[in-house]
Amino acid sequence: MKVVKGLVLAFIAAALFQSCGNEPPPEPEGGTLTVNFNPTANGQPFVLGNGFTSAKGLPYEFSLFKFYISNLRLYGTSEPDTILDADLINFSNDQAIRHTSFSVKVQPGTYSGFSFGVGLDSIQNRLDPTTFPSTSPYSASAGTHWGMFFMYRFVMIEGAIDTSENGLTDYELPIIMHTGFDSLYITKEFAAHPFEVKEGENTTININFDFNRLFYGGNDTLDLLTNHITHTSDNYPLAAKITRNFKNALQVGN
Amino acid sequence: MDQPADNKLTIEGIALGRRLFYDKILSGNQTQSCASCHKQELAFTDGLRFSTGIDNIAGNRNSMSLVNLGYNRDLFWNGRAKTLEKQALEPVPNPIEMHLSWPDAVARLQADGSYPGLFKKAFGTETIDSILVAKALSQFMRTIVSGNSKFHKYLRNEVQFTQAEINGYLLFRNELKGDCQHCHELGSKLLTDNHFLDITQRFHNNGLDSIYPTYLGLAEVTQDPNDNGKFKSPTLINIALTAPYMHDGRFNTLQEVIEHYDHGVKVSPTLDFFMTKNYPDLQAGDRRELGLTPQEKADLLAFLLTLTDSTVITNPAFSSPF
Repeated sequence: MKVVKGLVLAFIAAALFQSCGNEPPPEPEGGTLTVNFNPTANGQPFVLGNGFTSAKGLPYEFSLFKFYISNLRLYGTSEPDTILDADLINFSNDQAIRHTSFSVKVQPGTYSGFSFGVGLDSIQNRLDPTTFPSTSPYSASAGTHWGMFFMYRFVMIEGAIDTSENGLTDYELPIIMHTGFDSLYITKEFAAHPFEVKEGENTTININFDFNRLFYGGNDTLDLLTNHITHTSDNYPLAAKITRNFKNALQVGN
Repeated sequence: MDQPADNKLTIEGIALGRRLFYDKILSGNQTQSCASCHKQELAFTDGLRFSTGIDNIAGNRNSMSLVNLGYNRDLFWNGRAKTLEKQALEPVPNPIEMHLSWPDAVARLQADGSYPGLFKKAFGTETIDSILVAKALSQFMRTIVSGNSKFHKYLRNEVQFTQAEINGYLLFRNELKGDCQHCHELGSKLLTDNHFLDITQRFHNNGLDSIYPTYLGLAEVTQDPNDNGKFKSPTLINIALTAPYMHDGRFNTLQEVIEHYDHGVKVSPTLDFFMTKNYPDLQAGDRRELGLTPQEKADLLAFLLTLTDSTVITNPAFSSPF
């Protein structure tokens, strides 16, 4: 589910050092960087269908959670280069489509930090999903394309809240949070998070995602009872708030 | 369109599948074929509320259109088959459909003067089995692609919509009005969501009833009461040709369908949240009132009529070879 636009590999110099009669040294393949997303809700590992209790005491559960990551850039000694076009992170319980991390080949070295977009940039956002195979994050099969706008949904969160006090967890109030539109494309930057990638080895960065920060993040605290549905066009302020909170909910983990 | 690695389309496989699709040899008394319930002129449906098998026993599901089936992830209204190859194995031995055991069907085909040679051309063997029959049928069904309706041409900027069609199109997309596009997604041009990877996006309870019998629809497969009343969203391509409507064919006309969504949607525990997202105060047993005007209903109908692709119902490649 990833599209690698441009690998930053330029190891042609090794060939210049060959001497007559010797086998050329193997061409370096670079290292691998894996970015892994770990969501939690109310301090518990996030699982679709599991019940959680919000910070305000409301039981809730999720049925869908997926979002786009795009334009991954690494900061090092040279100009940062984009090494990942886009990927769709999906926390489905269906293992066939569950996709909670991505890996990219990168040039070995020490990097000072990284950044990525949440959503799709304005060019990616205008792509035609029917021109991509079902394995592509841009595919119509991804279930993210917004037919009515001919653009993509960046973040899709669906679930339900139990608002009644009848003693039953019957989740009668839906949560539908679909954000999109170019104006809600954001960049999350971890400018001061140094890491090293070694030749032939894998480096993993864990990114935590805290739903409590999404719903109850600082000054943008949401009252889920009145702020539980947005398709962006019908409730742009809520979509904007979710976008801001989403950015804050992403933290580098251990 | 994804194709199984072990059943890629071939000219010979498609031709064999087409012949099998129209051949009554696959039914017990040789009076019915697949095409008996999936007629090309009706966008591969049969115009009946429930189809009747060779023993005059009616089923309990409305015959589904076969157009663009190759893009779907679930077959049958309840999604019990996940591939066309598995789906194709069901109707032949089903007692209320073609009612012929697979061993008997295979024996008939094997004894036929032409089929062993056709299987040899398609699959490299004259030894016929049910798996190869299903593969050939699936190949043919994957070729039934529809993408040339006025709606498709409008998207390609080849034709213009009338004002009524534009109005209907906007209503179809309007979150606060028709809001049809969540389940009948436009961007893929398939007018369904059954190509989506996430199953929660593919099955919906559209409010036909307030009470459902235990395990109806997707729940028949999952045995999960939370899936009760949820059915696959059918494509709307050629919808004007595929009456009657819904899984049980309860609506005879598109006008009745529009009336249902306007004021007939019934609240139940598994009702899709897109049905009530703008009506948070609805209680169990209530009906949703959308409040479409007569003009809006007429406009919506005008848009739905743009979804008819006459090339599919006249394409000789999909017609009977007999």
